[in-house]
Amino acid sequence: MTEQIVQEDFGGFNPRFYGVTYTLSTPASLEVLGNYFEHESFEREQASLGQIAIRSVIEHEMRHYHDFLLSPYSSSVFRLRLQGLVNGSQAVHMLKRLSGNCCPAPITRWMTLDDSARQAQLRDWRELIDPPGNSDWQPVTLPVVAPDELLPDAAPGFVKVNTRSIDQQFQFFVRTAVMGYERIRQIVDGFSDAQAHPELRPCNVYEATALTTQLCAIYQSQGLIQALQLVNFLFDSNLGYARLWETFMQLALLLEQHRHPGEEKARLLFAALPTVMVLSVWCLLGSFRLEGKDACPTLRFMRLASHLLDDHTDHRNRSASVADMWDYWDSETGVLPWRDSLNDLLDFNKRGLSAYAQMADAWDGPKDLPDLVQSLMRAFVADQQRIVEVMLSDPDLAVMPTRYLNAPDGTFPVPFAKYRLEGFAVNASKFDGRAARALQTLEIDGQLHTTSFVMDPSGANGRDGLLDAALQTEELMTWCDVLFTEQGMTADVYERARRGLEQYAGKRILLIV
Amino acid sequence: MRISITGEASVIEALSALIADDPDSSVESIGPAKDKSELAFAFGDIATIVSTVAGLAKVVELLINLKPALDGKTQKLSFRTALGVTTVELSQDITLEELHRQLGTLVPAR
Repeated sequence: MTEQIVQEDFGGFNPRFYGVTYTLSTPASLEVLGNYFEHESFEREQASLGQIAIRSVIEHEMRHYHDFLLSPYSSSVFRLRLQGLVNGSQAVHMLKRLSGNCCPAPITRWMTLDDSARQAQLRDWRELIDPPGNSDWQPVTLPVVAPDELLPDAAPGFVKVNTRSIDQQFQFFVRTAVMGYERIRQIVDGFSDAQAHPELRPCNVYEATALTTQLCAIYQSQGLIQALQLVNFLFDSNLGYARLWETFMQLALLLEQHRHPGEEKARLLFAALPTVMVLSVWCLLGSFRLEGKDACPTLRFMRLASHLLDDHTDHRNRSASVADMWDYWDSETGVLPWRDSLNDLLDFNKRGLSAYAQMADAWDGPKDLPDLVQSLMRAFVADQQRIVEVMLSDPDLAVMPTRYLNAPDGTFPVPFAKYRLEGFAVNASKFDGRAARALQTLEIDGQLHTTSFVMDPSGANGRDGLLDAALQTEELMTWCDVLFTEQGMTADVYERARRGLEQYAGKRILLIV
Repeated sequence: MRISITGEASVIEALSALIADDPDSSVESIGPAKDKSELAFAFGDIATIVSTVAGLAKVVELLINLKPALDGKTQKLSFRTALGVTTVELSQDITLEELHRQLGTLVPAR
């Protein structure tokens, strides 16, 4: 299977960038994507799995974006990311005024290292690079904290800190940023027994909805044989998301066999895809804010699976209405009703927007940061309201793949689309400023080329300011991620952020390995 | 020096075996790559090894020895030391000099 694949990673969704990101590792991949959108016909018969995946990556990533808006669980991560940004950026600002010649990264790990572990790390740093002048490496002062102490949520509200010393202010901002990051780590890791069931991770539930949408998009736009190639890959693969998708499919087939008695399972695969969506989207609707760990998509999955294995013959599990099935499952599994969860999500984030407006009013000094956060939060709340309202009034439209994929333009929010080209560049001179904005440019033979560009496929006017805010936030969040946590990012992005931080703070950023 | 290397799980396992056989190096930990925060649509499972090695020359030597295990494919590996991170595409035809050049940023000359 591997030789068919033109690249490992075709795209990603990380709320660091308020949009979706597509990664293309060869000019051929870009050509496949470009040809697919520019020409009505394309080579179907010889398509490799990689080509099929590239031609459907937009639907896959779009589903991630919409689930990010719809799911109260992932919404919690976004709010914590904003908390990390506000507090982390202020800690970064303080860094240059602190004594010490280096800052360990990630700070979340440094804070949990005891003195002997810190000394071992310092020895490793000394071995690699001489400290400046004749001094030793002197990290900025950060207390040793037990891992459990990093988890409580920061108290809501805003605290004036400018009467405290610089060291105290730094430690206050660091601690609140770290609490946010640690909570993100906990939510992202999930609450099920990862050792017993390594595939049971929240991200794999989000993959289940995106893969199912992608499969339906392939079936609709590329053909049955092409869709079967991805199905075969999912059944053959040992990857966590593939294993969990297969389990969702088995549950869906269990229900589907009651809808089509006597039919073989193999013939029901595509008929079962909408049911996979109904099952997997339900798993995303728990509210971490109101239900704590019971909102975890994997725990919801286990409860639902247990219910269905006992009760799959009950006709209420295969109602024609998504809302009826979800109502029944909510009541059978004892979770918060899905409408309550979604209504609370809207209320909570509207309150968050007001709170950030209050923060901006009370902010001393330049308001760039609170303005940035408000701008992003406003867009987030508006996009979320739009899709949640669809979900509340017509859940089939937001869930059933055929209706979702063919929804009229304007039904769902359309995110910014960023393209990352790995190891090659395209001529940027033909970019119309409105169609695509080159993010990183280089000159080759006197012509401007780019390795990364962003587009706004929504067609909406007046989003330039929001795009600026999204890009600026991404850069700041990347700086905070480098400093505080071990969030995944590509080496070039990481190194650019680390160097930027060093330049800004006037201190060496030394990494903990 | 301590170095962490992330790549396709099977390649990391092969690298781990090489490090275990090397008297000057040791494996501190090996396991699935930690970060799952990004929902990346990928077709491969990734793992990370944290190891202590004598220096850049030893890392390069290990990677050259790893080439036969690549089975003709190109593999992307991410490296992290205290000084930074970088990614190398390890192919059959990559040279010792090229590896030194690409990994040099992780271990600056004194």
